[in-house]
Amino acid sequence: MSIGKIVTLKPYEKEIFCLRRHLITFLPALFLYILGLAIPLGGGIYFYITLGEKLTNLVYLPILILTAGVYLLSITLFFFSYFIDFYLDIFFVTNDRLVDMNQSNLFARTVSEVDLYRIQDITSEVEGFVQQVFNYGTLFIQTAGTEPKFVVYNVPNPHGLRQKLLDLADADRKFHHQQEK
Amino acid sequence: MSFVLTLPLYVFLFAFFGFLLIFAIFYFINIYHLFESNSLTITSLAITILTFAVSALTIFVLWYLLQDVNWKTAITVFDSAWISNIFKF
Repeated sequence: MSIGKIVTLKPYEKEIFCLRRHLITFLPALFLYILGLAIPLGGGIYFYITLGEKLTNLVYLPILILTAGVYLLSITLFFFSYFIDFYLDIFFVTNDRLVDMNQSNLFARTVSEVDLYRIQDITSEVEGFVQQVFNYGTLFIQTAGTEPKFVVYNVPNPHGLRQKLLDLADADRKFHHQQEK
Repeated sequence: MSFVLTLPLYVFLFAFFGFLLIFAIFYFINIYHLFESNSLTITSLAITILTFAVSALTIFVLWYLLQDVNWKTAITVFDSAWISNIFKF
């Protein structure tokens, strides 16, 4: 993914890295999808074994089959749409600013940004067994004001990322001081 | 006097085709998002292939199971006797 598609870069600005939510947080959706696929398959096999000939002679059988098809295609579409929502939540870091692109649904996207030199402090939080094991968590980025400007959920290696962002913010602050002189 | 509503099976088939059209539109909107945001990675490719394969397989199995159906068969979707006979003991 290129940040140039989202914002216009300044002449001195370059992309350092971009982050997505940890892939492990997508696994429950994948598991639910596989479970959802198995339900009509299991049901079909069960009714075929128990009803046999009665089922194949049923006048409503084509409607039942079409309904199962609608169900399978619907959950596949929901799963794909959920993946797009998940995958297009991207957090870009340049040497000048942070850009947070948040895809809420297929037709809603929010893009917000903050200059690195405005960052006052950053808090990283890894909470719970799963987050500890897979090393992901939440990042709270604070600028002037009481409320955190950015809250980035489920990012990989949040403690390392906090340190990296603080270093970049420090470098950007020095750059802006030099420009003011 | 009883009221019976029957519909030929092909009405349900056309309704399914309508659903397929909506499905295809939303599926391509999802793919458009991947291209538009330049998010063409191995992960997005894997999920696209998975969902495409499941959709294609579903449509193929539906075609296989329904190929011999006589779509002109009329089926009863409503019969007033179903309701009027409820209170007859």
